[in-house]
Amino acid sequence: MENMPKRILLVEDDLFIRDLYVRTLEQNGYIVEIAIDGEEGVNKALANTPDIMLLDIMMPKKNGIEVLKEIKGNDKTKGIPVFLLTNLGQEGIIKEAFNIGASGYLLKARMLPRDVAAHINSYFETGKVPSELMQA
Amino acid sequence: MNIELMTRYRKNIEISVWMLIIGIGLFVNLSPQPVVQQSQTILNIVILTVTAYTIVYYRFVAPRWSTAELILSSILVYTVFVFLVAHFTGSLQSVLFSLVFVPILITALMLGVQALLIVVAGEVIWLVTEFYFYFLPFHPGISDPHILLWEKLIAILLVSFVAYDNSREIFTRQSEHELLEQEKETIRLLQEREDAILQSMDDMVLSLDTNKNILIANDSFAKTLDISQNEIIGKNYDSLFTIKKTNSVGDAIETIDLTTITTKEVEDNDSKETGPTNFRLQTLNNDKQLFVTLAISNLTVDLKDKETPNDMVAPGRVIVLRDITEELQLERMKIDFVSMAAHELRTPITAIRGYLSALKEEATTSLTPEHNKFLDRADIAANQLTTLMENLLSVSRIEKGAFNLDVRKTDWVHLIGQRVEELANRAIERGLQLNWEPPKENIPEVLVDPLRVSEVFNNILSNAINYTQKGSITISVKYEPAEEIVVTSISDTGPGIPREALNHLFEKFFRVSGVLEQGSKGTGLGLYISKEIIELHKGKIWVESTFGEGTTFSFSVSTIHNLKLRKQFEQENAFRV
Repeated sequence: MENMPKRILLVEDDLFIRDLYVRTLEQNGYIVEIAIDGEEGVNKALANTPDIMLLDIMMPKKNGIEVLKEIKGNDKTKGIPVFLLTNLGQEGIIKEAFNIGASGYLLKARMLPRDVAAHINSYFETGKVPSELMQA
Repeated sequence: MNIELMTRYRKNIEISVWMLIIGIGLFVNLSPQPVVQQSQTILNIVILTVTAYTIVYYRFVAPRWSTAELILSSILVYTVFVFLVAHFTGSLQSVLFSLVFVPILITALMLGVQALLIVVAGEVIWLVTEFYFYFLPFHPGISDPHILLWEKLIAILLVSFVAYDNSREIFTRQSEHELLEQEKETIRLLQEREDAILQSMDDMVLSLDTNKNILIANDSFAKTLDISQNEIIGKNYDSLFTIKKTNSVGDAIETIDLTTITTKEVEDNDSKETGPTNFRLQTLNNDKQLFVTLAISNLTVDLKDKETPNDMVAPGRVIVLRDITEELQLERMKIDFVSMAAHELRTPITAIRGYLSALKEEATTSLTPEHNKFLDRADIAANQLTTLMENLLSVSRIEKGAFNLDVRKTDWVHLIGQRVEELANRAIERGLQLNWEPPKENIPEVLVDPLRVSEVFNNILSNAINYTQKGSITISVKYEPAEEIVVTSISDTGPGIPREALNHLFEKFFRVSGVLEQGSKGTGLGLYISKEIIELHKGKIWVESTFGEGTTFSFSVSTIHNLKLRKQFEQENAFRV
């Protein structure tokens, strides 16, 4: 079981960002599934129960907060750790997300895809969320 | 028919009636064939009453007459009277001769400047009358042809005195009247002008007494309330509108009392915590909301009736309210535009940086050294762009008053150590010596938002690394127990900052001239943001520099022992344990 590749659900509407993250995460040995909007994100989370979910906030159909509420409101998916993919200037949203049950957040503008991968590696290795991903 | 003409007619009629009565009276009294005694008495009373009325009339009405009118009418009245007396008595020597003084008196009362002329004219008329009695063949007969000289002299003296006295009186009245009219006119013009200024002002002007009653409200204010000025004046302002202090996003903080708020309170309202404060005017009758600035001055002159001494001690104030609703909207749109633009730019920049880093990781070996250099430069530029956008967003949030702190108890030495470690490589790359000695003394935890303060430290240290060509950078941390602050200093051996630039260093978009040419890529925002962040922490930031020798930036943060600050952060909801 230890060596089973972890499955990541990436919910992100921007093609380039999505592509970059998929490349880097796959290079790091993860199985990455993608959803291009909030609605698809909820459906895929329900269908596949990934090990971790990376969730963009500003998305068509359903925004990240709505997705997070549904995920955390459903017994089947509420155990999935969710990391928000955020931008600067969204402190209010991040605080709200933590209240709903987000595990951490990743500042897209500050991090290169390899930094994101590094944080996720560290999360799976230690089982803990790096402290800097917890500050809102 | 105009009023002036009507007045003149009335005067003529009055004079005619008066002369008629006098004439009848004299006829009855002085006729050689006496009529019934009783009618004589009644008529005498009538004559005296009318005479008294006339005196009063001329005393108080005549001042309004022109001099020519006065002279003409007086000569006319005098002549007719003397002739009547002479004709019916056959003499000016009758027992009722004293009555001749009545018209003389009246005439004198009516006199203007030419008092003496009139008296002389009267004398001439008298003489002519006498001539008529003594020498003309058809005279009615003379009972006593001898007129005593002394009687005439007394009469002339009397007339002269009364004429002089009255002409002076009339003259004074006339000039007083004119002065009064002039003064009234001046006051009216002044009032009109002041009123015009007040009414044509775009700003709303209000004057209040200490009980919140409105003494004056200009047109602009009436328009805002959609009711007439008359309906506003005298009312308590609480019944018409409220004024509330608002924060930067327009939420009302508290209602203020216009009669007690001081100018200082109005001006001191911009705070770092809530952003620029404005005032919101809320009308109660038509439910309008305006954002306004206030200018308040105390009344030094009482506007109420000046004759009531009590009102003089009750001062009020004048309040000028300027509608800035539109300006605020524009300002907000501007800020929103910057922040929106930066937001929109971020996603593509993130992609650019992502792909560049992927390219650098995966394609380095297959590229020529020159191509690799291109890639490095593109990467550097993309990083700069990211910094610039982050800075623009920070500035926009600072100006919106939306820059929030997340204050925690923080191990300062540990935090600084981490930050130094992160930047140590860059200093080494540039051949600089980086000195960081954790202080030996025990330093209490500090009250900071670690992320924000790290930004400040990184910014100052990066600047030091970028601008120092050779030498060293020294970081020191010092605890000052007296003030319960920790001061952190970053000294470099760089080129230093020219004296004239030192004062502007923390201003937005300020760049030290000449630096740009050296190829550095600052945004001119870093130090401005740093200053704002440190001030949000109630700390200070300052710089000392000797041109050509180096620069030291220092900033202070408070320790957890500053309980007052801790409480303040808690109240602002910025402190989380």
